Amino acid sequence: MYKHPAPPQVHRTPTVRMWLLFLAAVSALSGCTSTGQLWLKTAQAALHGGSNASEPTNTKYQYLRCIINGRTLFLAKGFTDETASGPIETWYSGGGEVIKLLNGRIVGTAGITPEWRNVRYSNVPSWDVMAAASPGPSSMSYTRTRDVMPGYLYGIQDEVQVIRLASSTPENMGSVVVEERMTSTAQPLPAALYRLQQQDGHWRVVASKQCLSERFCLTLEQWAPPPVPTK
Amino acid sequence: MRTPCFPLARIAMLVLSVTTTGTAMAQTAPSATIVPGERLSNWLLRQPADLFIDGLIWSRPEDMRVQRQLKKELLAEGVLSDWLRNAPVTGRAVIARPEVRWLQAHPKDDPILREGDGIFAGPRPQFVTLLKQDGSLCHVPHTPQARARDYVEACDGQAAGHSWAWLTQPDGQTQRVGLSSWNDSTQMGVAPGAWIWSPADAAKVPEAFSDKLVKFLGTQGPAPDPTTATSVAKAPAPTLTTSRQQQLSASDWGGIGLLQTPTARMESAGHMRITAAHIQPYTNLNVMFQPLDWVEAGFRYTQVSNRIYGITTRDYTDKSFDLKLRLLQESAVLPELALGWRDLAGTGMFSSEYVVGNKRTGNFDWSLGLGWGYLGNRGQWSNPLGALGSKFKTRPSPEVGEGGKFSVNTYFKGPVSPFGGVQWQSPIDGLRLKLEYEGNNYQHEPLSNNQKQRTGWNAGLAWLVAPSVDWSVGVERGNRLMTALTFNVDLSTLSTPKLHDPAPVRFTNAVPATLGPSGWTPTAEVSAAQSGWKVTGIQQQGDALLVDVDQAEGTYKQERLERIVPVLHKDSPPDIKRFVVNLSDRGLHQSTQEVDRYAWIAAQTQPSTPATRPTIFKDVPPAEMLRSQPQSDAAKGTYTIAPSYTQILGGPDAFLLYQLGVSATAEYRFSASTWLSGTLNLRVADNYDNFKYTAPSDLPRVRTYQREFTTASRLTLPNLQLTHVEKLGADHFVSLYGGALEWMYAGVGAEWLYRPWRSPLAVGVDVNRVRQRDFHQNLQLRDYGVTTGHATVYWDTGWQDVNVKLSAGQYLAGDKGATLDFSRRFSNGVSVGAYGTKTNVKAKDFGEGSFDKGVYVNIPFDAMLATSSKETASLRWTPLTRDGGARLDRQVQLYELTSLRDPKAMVFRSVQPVEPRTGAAVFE
Repeated sequence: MYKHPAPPQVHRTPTVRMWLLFLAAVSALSGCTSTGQLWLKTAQAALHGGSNASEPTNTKYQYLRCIINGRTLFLAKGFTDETASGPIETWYSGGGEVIKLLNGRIVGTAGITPEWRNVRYSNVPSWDVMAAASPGPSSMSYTRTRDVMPGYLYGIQDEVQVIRLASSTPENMGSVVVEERMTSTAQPLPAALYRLQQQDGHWRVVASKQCLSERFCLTLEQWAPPPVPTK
Repeated sequence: MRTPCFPLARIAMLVLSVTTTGTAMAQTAPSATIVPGERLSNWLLRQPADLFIDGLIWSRPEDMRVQRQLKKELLAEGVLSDWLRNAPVTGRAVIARPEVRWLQAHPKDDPILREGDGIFAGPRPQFVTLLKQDGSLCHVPHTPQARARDYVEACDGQAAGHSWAWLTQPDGQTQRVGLSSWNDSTQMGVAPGAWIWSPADAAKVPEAFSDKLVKFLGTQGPAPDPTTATSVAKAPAPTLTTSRQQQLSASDWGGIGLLQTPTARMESAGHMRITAAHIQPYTNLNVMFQPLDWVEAGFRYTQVSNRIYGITTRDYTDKSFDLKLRLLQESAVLPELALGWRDLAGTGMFSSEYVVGNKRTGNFDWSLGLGWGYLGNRGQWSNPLGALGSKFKTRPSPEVGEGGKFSVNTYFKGPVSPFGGVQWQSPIDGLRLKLEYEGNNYQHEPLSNNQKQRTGWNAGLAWLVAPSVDWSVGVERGNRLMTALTFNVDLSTLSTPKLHDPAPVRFTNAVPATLGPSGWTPTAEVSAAQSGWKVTGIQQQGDALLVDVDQAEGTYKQERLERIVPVLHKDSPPDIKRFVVNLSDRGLHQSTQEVDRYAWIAAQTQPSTPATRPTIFKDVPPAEMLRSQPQSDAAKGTYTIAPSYTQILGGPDAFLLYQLGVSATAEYRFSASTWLSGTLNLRVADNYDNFKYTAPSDLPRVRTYQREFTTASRLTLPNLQLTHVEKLGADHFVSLYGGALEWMYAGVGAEWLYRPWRSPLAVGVDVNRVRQRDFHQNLQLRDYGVTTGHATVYWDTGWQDVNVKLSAGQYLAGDKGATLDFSRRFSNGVSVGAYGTKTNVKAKDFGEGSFDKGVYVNIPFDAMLATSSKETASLRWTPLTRDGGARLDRQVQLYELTSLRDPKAMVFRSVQPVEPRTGAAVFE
């Protein structure tokens, strides 16, 4: 099992900036109390903020670069489980949080808030079909059912419309970009974006932006450690 | 219609695994057989993919005893007896997350299955089951986003008459939810397989029974789907998003309320709120605390813009205290009821008393009250308390005198006026609209400052502009705009992840065969870096590794200890079975924590259930201490330089007098128990040009030379003292100190403290002979000298985390009296308190304020910073600085220095997110 030396975690951590504001208010009322240390340390902590993970160097593993709220961390692939729906990849963060992907789409998370469990897809058009489709609105759609924790929101059903976008930027040359919008759901999410490239004769997701809730989105991108220079 | 419930028997029909001593169940699937010693995750990998792991039951026979007792207690209540008799005792324990690949990466949550363990799981249920009072079951098809109320309605046709439901999810988690418009709140969803228990109010089922029953249901696993269609109700409509938590907001006076008027509502204990509100000619700066769930208290500064403060040109400033007590909690029939005082101990300018009730109907929260004094100035009704005696019929003028006194003779006297209104929680999240009728008549304003008032009706809104910030605006008196800003924080949940601490040493299964070539030196260094404590000795003695720690300070001591253990384990040979950590502060040994190394290792590699959980950390009485060889403790100097800031609020010269500067603190240790410490402060910036006022005093000027001490010199030496502490016998401690003990006094002193280990009681005495220092805070002294000291009793009451401190003795002005201090300390170490001092100085001699009093908040830096810190921010508000009841501000106090002996010394912890842990009892 892959273990990252430092444990950057996927979950969001409370910011100390709120406490800085609170302390500013409190300190402004504190009679003859010296609060110098308090100010200094809080300000230091507030300025430091969250740090990015260092880049992994072990070339034995496959990695995804994950960006959440501007923070970068790396996920390493732990398992690939063959299922009737296709291969489900299990990716681990340094803190042991789990993201499971089926053909690049999230089919489960654990240790992250929110958690998606028991995600089921039906009638999902293959990426090859999408890549062959004309850019613009299409009638292609699929149904996704998921359980969301915390909150015991079990059985949420999403109707998702799949749209191939026109590739216009140089970055996307040779790629196909697909957008997925929810047309019906009890828990709306921002649209997901997938960048596809051909690998081994099939179109596969090399990067994506997917959201687990309205306010929690992450980008995932295939990433490989730079090769070690030979002496 | 009745369906007998044998949930486990039914579940066992699906997938069941029990080793030889498991309960007799049928049809064990071959793939489900437990291999003793395998992980749960491995067992799960062999199961069908569609298994409903969320409702998996992992049970251990040892845990049945407690659950059997729970069942016995339930049966004794005589409710649901038949159903309960048939319900099995399972020994179920929690599984943290039903995700195989996550469990594999978290061995602490992935049980190693043993002989006798049972695992039960089935396919995903399709129904939610309501357990009815007669023991029958009502099955309702699961509907995403339906709430408990919907399922109750589906079964009973209506939820009226059911105020509460108790919900047990298939994973065993429980919640009590309100079903009515008066107690509705944000709710969890209801998972398929959940149990719901919602007795009719008329049945008067004791809530204690329901609380226990829902926990017992948690041991039963997912509720079974129906076997016949007859017991199935119609699927409900999803209405979860309509459930909303009531959002409270502050009044112009800082307490929870509408605009000018209070309501009976309160925040939960731990909340602190700062409100700045302006409506011509008043500006209120309110600070309110919620020390207990039923007590709201606070203080305020009120500036009156069209009146001047004494002979100055500044706006008039008044200081006042408030108190509100909840008398009754809202129920289906009765309202929430509170009794309150506004300005109960200030000059009495706005002194009011009130009784107010609240009743909620969905998004509307209605309040109706009766006000005396300022709140009832309209005087529409005669005092209903007049029936008790004619003295209640008229309200005497408050005995303002020097202010600050409790004008008990005026309380609840005079005519009254009704007040009340409504807060409407709009569909827009965070927006609340308010409408109220107030009982004040602005033609009776204090300071002859009458205001025009077109109507007694006020209207406004509160808008949650940020998670902790409310902005309010309104029209009051029919002609004035009010604006207010409120900052609200729950001090009891204050916590910050330690992102900037050294990365914790990771647990490793490997145990070194022998001690490394560098001996224990690296172990001591890493332990010190991890804990922030000073490791003074480390040595193996038999099967124990003895670790001596000094300066074992900081609020979260247990967390620091837990960071040391992996370091000790990493370096210790296998024959070391115990880590014995002696905790000292300033050389005073006070506590020993013994760690069972192999139990700790087991806890890192697998979960355990309550009945099988070994004791890892043992709190050893000091008498049983094993000590390592004393290490030479080289004298060592330390220093810190930091910005400094001090301020004086609400004085006659300016609302804020401040100074900014740089402060250098240094310490030189002659030994662990003897040290010289001092602080040098350089004032860099200030507004002391405005500081003209020296308060008059009829007492020796022990504190009222505040201006002179503050302004005489830019470079000052606030403290320079030599201190020695000593332990005398098992529970006795003494300290001797001399020097410039604080910014105004120098001298010598001694303290004795008797503090039995882990006792809630302690007694101390301090005696000091001091002289007033020169205004320049240098090494010279003034003529005034006094002997001051106190006998103090410290008591941890054990009731709602309340501590009491009572001191009696002679104060700096030579006056004799006592100080009473109450505080509430929350589990994260934050404390909120208030104190008052009464001495033999008469109120008129004491001067403005009548007696010394104040409130304070102590916040460990650990609760606020991303880096561990041993320090605590002490924020103290005293309305006035006077000479009566003034105490020497001693830098070293033995009660603080011996905090390791506190019964809760190892209890305070940072607030952690609530995460299920494998092995926890489902009803923990």
